[in-house]
Amino acid sequence: MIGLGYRRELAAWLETKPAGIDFLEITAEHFFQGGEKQLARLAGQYRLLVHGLGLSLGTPGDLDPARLEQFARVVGWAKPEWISDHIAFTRTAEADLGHLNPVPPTRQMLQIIAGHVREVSQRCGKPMLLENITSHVRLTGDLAETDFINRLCERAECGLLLDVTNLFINSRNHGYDPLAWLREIEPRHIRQLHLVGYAREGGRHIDSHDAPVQEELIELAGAVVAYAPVQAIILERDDESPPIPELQQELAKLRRIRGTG
Amino acid sequence: MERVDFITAFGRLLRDGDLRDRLAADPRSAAEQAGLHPDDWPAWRQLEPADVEFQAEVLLRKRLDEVRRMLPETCRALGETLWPRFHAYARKHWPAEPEAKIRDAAQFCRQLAAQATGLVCAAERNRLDFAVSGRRFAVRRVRLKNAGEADRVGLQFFRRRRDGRPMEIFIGLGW
Repeated sequence: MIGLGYRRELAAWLETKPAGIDFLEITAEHFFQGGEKQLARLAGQYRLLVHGLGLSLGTPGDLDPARLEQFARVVGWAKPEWISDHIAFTRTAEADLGHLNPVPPTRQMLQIIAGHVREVSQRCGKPMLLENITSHVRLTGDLAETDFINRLCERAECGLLLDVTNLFINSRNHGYDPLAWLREIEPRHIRQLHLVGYAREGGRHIDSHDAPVQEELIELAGAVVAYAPVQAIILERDDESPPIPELQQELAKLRRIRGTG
Repeated sequence: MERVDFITAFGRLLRDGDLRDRLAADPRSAAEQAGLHPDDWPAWRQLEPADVEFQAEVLLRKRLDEVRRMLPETCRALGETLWPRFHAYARKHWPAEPEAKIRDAAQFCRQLAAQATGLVCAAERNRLDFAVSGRRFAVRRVRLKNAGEADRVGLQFFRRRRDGRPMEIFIGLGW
């Protein structure tokens, strides 16, 4: 099943119900100020997923109650099949950092995130997936990253939203084999994929979210799909929505992964 | 000094360019300054200063995206000097809540004005100054520069709504 990250500038095109789009992934924060009718309309046309950017599941202490309520309200409107956020923190006890940052793979962090995931999932009444992020810092802990993710999925009773682009970028920036990393993840945890092209800057790979999907990412995604029971692949073209024909070409690349294109 | 968990200390590191400089020179001293709990020293010791700096720059670029929305004309006028100027400012300043994004743009704008670059759009600066002022009403005379055309002079009227959001009316006074 193929899907697309929803952006308001795509609304008119999506109204025409273009072929081959099974899912739309909604960014919860884009609807915190309202949008109930719009979401109800979309829910009548597409299978929806709700993706969060700022629950900050890795921050020790309580979740931000106001943000959790806003998130739950959007979930109530969209009635998604599942919800997701990141293995990350965006906020500390002192400040909002405005973006996703890595957490150390420790037993202590495992408890923090698992507790938060259970709380969000229970409050929203939906199963939850966790997404791996891109990070330029590779934090260490008492667990290997893949072991941490496997244990987290088990303890929190959640799945993994594997961002193939983030895996590829991290493997290049930190010098490891993405396929070896993949084989250390329990395949049953991987339920959804994100894909978008990467960029290069200052000798590093970065997740600019504005580039066409490169061939090596298609190959890596193909390996994931062959390995795990993936239910949805989402094109996550956030920052620079391309013209519709280009977007359709990008979606066709994703269908190729599943052999349906 | 009160000891904090790794996430809080790491957050301080990502927000504070001087602390990152210290990390590069003396990681243990940086950990002390950040208030890191001794139990978290092994993870802190593994931090690569260059990687932390790059991660911090990702956050700065996100901040710049927000600032650009509030200062479009000023940022356009700064051209290629925008990023180095913003980087120099933002590496040493982290905006306080509430309204951190507006405060960030307003503070950057004030710093640019203090540097006498002549590139700050007065209308944008007035708008931000009013937003962070807490005042209910203000009037500012402004001269708008239009590329290739004569400057336009007018008055900006600002009023704060009951919900706290500012509104603005511009009345031109001729060319």
